[in-house]
Amino acid sequence: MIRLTVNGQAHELDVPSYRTLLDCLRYDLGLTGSKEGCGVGVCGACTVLLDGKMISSCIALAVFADGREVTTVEGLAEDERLHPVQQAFMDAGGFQCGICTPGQVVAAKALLDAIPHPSEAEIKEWMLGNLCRCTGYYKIVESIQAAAGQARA
Amino acid sequence: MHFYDAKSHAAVTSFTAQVAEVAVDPATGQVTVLRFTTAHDVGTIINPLGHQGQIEGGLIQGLGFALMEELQTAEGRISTLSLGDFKLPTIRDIPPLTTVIVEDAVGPGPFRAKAIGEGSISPVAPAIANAVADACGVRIVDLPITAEKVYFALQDRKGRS
Repeated sequence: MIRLTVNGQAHELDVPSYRTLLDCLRYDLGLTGSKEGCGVGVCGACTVLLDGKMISSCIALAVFADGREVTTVEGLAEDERLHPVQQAFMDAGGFQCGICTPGQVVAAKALLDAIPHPSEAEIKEWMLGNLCRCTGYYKIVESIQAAAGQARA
Repeated sequence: MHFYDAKSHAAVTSFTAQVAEVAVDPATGQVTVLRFTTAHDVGTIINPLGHQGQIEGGLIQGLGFALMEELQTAEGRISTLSLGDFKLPTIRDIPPLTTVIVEDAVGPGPFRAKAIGEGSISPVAPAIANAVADACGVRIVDLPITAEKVYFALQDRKGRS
């Protein structure tokens, strides 16, 4: 039995010790926003926040999250209002097919929490672990810059 | 008079010209793309954001194709089995980009649009290969243009001269 808080909601779950946090979120809790891209922790599609720090949930065990707080892409919007990072990704074209987007958005939120006004180099350094096939990344950089501007206003 | 028959295929209707500016490290053969320019002959742009996204996305796929992506095999089996083994461009691999749009509203598509999705992929590798040849005098004819291939081509040329 593990106890964890996901997007502000407390859960008690019986999970096998080998269950990954990603599978727990997707299959036990029905939060299918986080995606499995590579399954080996290099593509970033499964990025979630564990106590505010970003991790690859495909290589973290669910039991590892016992007593801790998980934030997924589903937990970013407040009262039907998109998080500034989500809105910026929409407005600036930060996604196309969308499979990497939940991970990109969560990673970008973590970036702006850590560095509110990142330089382009800081954005690229931080977002290095989130692969994208469609956008060519230019508009992801622009989205994050836009979100940083929005936070400033 | 229109140049395009509305029933013809989009494949012949969209033209692209690209310029790659590269640096080659003679000690390692590593190719760095310093700047990239992509120019497109396009029809009516229906969705400017999506249009530019298609250009940029295709371009970076082309960049991966040119410089790093390779489906490797060992004894007949594919050995690049995950994104951990298969190298593709990351956010740090994108060069400063200039896009030139030559809008010409005579495409065969809806609202006289033309195809854009694939136009930016194909010329990237030839542009980079030409730039590498111009920079260091060796012409790599199989992709990807890895540091290893450029290094050995440079050694080979040195050995012959």
